[in-house]
Amino acid sequence: MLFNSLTFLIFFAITLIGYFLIPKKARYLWLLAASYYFYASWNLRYVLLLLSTTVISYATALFLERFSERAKAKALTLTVCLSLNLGLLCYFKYFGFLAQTLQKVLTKLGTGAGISVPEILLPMGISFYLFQSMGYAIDVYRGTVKAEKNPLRFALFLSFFPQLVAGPIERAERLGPQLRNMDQIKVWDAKRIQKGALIMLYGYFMKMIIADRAAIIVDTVFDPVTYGNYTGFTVWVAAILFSIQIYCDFAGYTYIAIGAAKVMGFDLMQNFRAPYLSRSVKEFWDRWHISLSKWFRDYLYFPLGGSRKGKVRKYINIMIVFLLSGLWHGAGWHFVFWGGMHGILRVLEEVCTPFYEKHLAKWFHDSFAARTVKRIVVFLFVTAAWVAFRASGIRQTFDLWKSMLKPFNPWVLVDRSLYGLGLDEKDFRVLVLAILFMILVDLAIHWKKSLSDAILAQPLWFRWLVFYVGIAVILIFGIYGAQYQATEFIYFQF
Amino acid sequence: MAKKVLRNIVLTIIFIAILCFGLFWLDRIFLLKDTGGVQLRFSSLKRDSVDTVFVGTSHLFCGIDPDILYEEYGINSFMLATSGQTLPMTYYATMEAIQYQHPKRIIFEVCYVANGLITISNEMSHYFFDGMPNCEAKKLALEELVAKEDRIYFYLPFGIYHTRWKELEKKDFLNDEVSERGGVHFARTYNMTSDIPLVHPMETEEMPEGMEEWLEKIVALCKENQVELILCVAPYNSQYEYDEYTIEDLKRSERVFNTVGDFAAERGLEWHNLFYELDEIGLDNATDWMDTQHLNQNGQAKFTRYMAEQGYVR
Repeated sequence: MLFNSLTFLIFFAITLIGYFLIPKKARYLWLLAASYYFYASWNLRYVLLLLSTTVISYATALFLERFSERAKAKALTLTVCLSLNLGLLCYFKYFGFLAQTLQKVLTKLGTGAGISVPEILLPMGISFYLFQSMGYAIDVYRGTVKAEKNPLRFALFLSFFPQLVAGPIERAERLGPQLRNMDQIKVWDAKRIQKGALIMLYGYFMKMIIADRAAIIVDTVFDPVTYGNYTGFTVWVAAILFSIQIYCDFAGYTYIAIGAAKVMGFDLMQNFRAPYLSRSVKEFWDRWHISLSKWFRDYLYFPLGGSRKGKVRKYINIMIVFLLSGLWHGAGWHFVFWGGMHGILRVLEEVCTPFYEKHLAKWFHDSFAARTVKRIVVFLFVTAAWVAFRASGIRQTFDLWKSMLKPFNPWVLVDRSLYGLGLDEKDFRVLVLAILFMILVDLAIHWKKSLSDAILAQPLWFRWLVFYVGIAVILIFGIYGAQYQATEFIYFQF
Repeated sequence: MAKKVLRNIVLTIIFIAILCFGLFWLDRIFLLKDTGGVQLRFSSLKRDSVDTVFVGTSHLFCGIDPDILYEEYGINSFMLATSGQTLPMTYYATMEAIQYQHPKRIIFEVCYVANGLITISNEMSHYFFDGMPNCEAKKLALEELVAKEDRIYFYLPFGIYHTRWKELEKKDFLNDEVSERGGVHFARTYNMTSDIPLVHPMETEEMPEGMEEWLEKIVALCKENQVELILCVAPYNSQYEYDEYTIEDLKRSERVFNTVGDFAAERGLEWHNLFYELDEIGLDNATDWMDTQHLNQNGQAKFTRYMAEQGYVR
């Protein structure tokens, strides 16, 4: 059940009506049922996996509290829990990939013919809820949160449908209290509901008008069979559009999730903060998929020693985090490669900072021009790295990079050949206008201005007008309907 | 407190009502008028306001102009024929016509009896369903004729037509290509180089499978609702040079039409096979056709007047 489908809108409306009407004490049961229905709508068998990690982490937390005085027993319990969760993740997500890699290696050695690669159906959003589940167990182990005694409420924490399949990866200390105090949520808070609906609307705008429209060009140029037909600036345009596509796809999903949760009275964490306005790779990762970055920071980087064990160890830790982050994004070497690129750049940033501050900082003192140059440089690097992410493998990545470098053909930007990539001139204009609007919103986010609050401060007729126009724009210019299958959000596969 | 709750409820209802109205308006504008124009006109008619409703295929709406019928003969009719209207569609169009207008008579052009089609492509089906009010007939027709997963686009055609924002034109806003009585006119002319070949009126051929059953259903529906049913077939030709529809196909169809004549006679229904009245109609091969199968507005005017003057249409 995709967020950008009629089925979801009907499901959400029914869930909302039930949520508002049933007795407050039973709300969490209603949401739990709705969340499991939501997840089961993809594949009933997935539910077993969700149920498994729920049972594992729930029981682990109870044991951890019982063993609060016995350090070894606690450590052992947590280890078992993490091993089971990681085991599930490895089996469903990486087993096929590892078998395929082994087969390739053995084939090169001349002995791999006997290895068969298993076909395992990747459960939707597995990396998100398993990470949330493990994060909870670690938090209980550390004593930052208490174990949830009510198994059904804990099940809701892991399965809460707005953020179940593509995040944000919530923390028990944030979402837990909200779920526990659900009965105190005011049923009809017009401002809250309108704000949530407005955030959802913007999410749909990002997904259906920008991401899915940009995807048409991206899919044409990055097609694994025909990508060789495109060179130079055409590939650059496609690469930049992929940067925009993946951002609008993922952030769009997150906005819909945050908005849907807000309508019901829950605050999910912000997952994006205008990432393409970053002036360094470090800043980019502070703004992109924030919940995952924080997860890796708190549950991997810090336990590895962070920056406390010397510079070299810090750089190694950074590389480990980024390589694993790459692997988290997908079972493929090009994802690891992509993570590695970011890791290397992060390390280089760290290494070069003293040199920069000593010799170059005077040229790039805090000014609009300097900030803009930095932003462009970071954006271009991130875009080049996204090529590895989007490509079907490392070979295609290098081919595409090569074709981005030559020939020098800037005329394709003006000779209308871009209109032959799947979007005609009118659709292309809509895409450009929508991207400009998105940039304005990002600037507002960057300047910590809330557009939704500004709209909600206006008189009723204006607020309604914004909703009507927003809905009409999405319905008219959105990419959906019979000609197009509602496309899945890119991050579902992670 | 109660006042505030009531206010919120009322505001929500007003908001949703305006939204629904806006979406309804958008849906009408974006609907392809070539497919949805006729049904849109039909759904905006005042209830029980027409005496005669035409059902059938493009041969009928190209052949008969309900505006001429009204202006020159005072016949109050509506043209509910649509492109590629199969017999099941005609059955449900009859049901729709009875539900909304309960006309005195229904004139059914039987061209599609000959080709035996029950279902057609989704694209063609839109010619019938687009603009149709969400009535019982539509629900039953969709269940009968359209795969479950595709039905949503017949209830909410905006899902298909929203991409038309690039090509909207005046007629989309005004729906002025179809008259209030469902009349359409085509000005272009095709020079038909050969006469329509005719088979002997006694030559017959069995109706394709399933056709007789649907004919029976249409007859029963009209009888049950005390609506007079008139069957007819409008003349047409085949294009020998490039048309897939050959002269032999045409002759086979004519033999089937003669069987329909027997069917009508057995049930006491009025039947008009206009293939055998070509000279009386006075169609001119050089000026009255827009292609080999359909009349243009000149031919339409002649054919309409002939039908009215003979009392076939009343």
